Amino acid sequence: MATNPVRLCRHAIALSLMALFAFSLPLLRAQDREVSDTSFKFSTVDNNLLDEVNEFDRQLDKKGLVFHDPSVEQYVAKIGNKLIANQPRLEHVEFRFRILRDPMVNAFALPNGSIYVTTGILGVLENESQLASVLGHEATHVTNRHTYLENRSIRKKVLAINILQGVAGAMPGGTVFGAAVALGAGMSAVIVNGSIYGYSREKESEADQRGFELLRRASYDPRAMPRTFELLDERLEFEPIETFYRTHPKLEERRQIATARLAGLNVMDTRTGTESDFLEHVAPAIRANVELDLSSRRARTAVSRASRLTKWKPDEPKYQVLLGDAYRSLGAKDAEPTDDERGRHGQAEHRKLYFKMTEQEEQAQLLAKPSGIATRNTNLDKAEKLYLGAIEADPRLADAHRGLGFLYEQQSKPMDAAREYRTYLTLTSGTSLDRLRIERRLAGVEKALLPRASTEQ
Amino acid sequence: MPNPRFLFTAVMFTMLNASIAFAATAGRTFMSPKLEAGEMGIHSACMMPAEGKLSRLGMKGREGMSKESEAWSSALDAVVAGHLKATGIEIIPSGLAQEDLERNEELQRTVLKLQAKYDSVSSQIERHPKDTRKDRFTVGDEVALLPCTEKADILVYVHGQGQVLTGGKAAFGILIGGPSSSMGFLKLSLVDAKSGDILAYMRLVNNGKFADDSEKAYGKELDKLFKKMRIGNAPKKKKD
Repeated sequence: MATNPVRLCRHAIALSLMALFAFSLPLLRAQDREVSDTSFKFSTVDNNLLDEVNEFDRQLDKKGLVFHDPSVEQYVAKIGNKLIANQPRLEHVEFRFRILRDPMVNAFALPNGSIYVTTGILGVLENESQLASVLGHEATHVTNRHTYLENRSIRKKVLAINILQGVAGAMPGGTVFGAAVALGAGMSAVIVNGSIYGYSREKESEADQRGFELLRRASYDPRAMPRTFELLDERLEFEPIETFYRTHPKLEERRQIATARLAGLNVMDTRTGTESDFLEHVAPAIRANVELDLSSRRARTAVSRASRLTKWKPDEPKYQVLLGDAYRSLGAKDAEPTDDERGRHGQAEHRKLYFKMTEQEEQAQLLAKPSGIATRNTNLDKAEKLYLGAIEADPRLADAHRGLGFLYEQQSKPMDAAREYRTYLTLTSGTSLDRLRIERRLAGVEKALLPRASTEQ
Repeated sequence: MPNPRFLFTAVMFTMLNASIAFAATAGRTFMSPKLEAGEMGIHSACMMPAEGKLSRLGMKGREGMSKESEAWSSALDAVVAGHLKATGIEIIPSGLAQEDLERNEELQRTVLKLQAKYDSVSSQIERHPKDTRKDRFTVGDEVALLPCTEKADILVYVHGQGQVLTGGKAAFGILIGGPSSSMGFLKLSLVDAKSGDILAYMRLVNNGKFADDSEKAYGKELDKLFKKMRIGNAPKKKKD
């Protein structure tokens, strides 16, 4: 029988790649075999990752993304330190509890001990023990070296996938085996991506379990944990990125597990902390977050958070202005999503709308219907009342005059708008960054008034 | 004797993959009608801090490149500013350098706010860049919060996103399939410094050593695109 050299060569390649594939299978299975313990040995890969996260930490600070306010920072650090008290000292870990300027509801831990809670998550939580449950969960990711373990696991998986792709690519096309491997490699890539954006389910469960223990040990009310999961499930508007903290089926499952853990527990003499005390400490961060929400097309969230602040301190003019700004930005939108919008279909529609239309186009579409006009009028009326209330409490509050100016301009009342802009400019006298914008707006409304004045003459 | 069909396919496949490895830059501009019609005279610009993000893709997955990203951001800033200057556009000192922002928290907050504003429209711009021609996009008049916009005609947002392939990954891509060369995107948005309207959106892509030499990677293409936009000293469109 004559031997075809090309066929021989193809068989040799296929056989060697199949051997590589067989070698790669244990790598795929190896992902969660490692256990976290105190005798963690740093490899070059881990040291490289540590350098990378230290740099990441520095970058966050440098870009102004870390929220600095001594009272908020001290409060978060105090709770965090209480949770990790009596923990053995770990190599290359220095716990730091920090706040990130980010409207996304999220918290994460870096393996060097930096734990970040976003201003967005502070806006959702109600009390100290809920914040402690979030910090306890994140601290466990650090103490159990989850990032390092996950990184090692991902690297093994990616190597295996590259080999799988190699096998699939070199296989003669059209065979069932080749197609199945190609499909498998493609699906594995999705799983890999899932791991990259969050830890594995096992590690997250471990963090919940250990976080729960930390919470109890620090004498916090463990009932805070299931309640925290409920709060994190709040969906006021579409979010372009879904983090682990907001993935609905997982959240519900975690809430159920946390509730089951409560069975038979004595919760007497535990600390919960009141909402008022919590807000007393974190209000500056929530306020900063509302401003970010307003810049990020999240007016509903802004209304919800600013409402919390005004309910807590109804006579505080700066919170009234904040809520006024939020209602004004809401325009023709309802403050709460309808049941339809909350449903699966509604959320998918919202997603489409978010990517299809700009904020202005969305408003214009709503205003094309009478219900949209009515909602807008209601929202603007609420905003006006809030601004006027703030001015009554503090007539020199420049931001209230600015908000009122914007509102009157929206309502096509140029004379009133001009009056408020002038007051704002008088009150800020060269110190505000917003002067240039208001001067330009004033010039615009005065120009609009000119033809009217000449007609009246 | 080797099967000619098999040989032909193998050679073509390898050549196709290898051809991708040759460095080249391509770019596209989408202009608003105001700019297209030459109604606006653009002679000065204020630069937002450039945001460049690089990652390294190797056989063992993706790694961040924080330090390199920082250097690339500065390089992109310098390249874009340099080529704007070359077209006769005055770059207004923005006071938005990293050191300035670290000293001025209010200004830093304002920059974050304007980045957030831009991010909220960028998802539409990225998906429908052609709609820049319909005057659809704006970041709003909050651009005036930056003191440099007082004297500037435009505010320039510079975003870079690059994936650097390791030698092993590139070779793997050429032989087996998949990405076989590094790829760096440079995205520019020219924003009206008064109204906040997006006047132009530009997208450039290079598959060479864009992270090491941004000037070589994007310089020529930038000149070409700026010339097409007739900004600065470029001759204006003749009116019929």
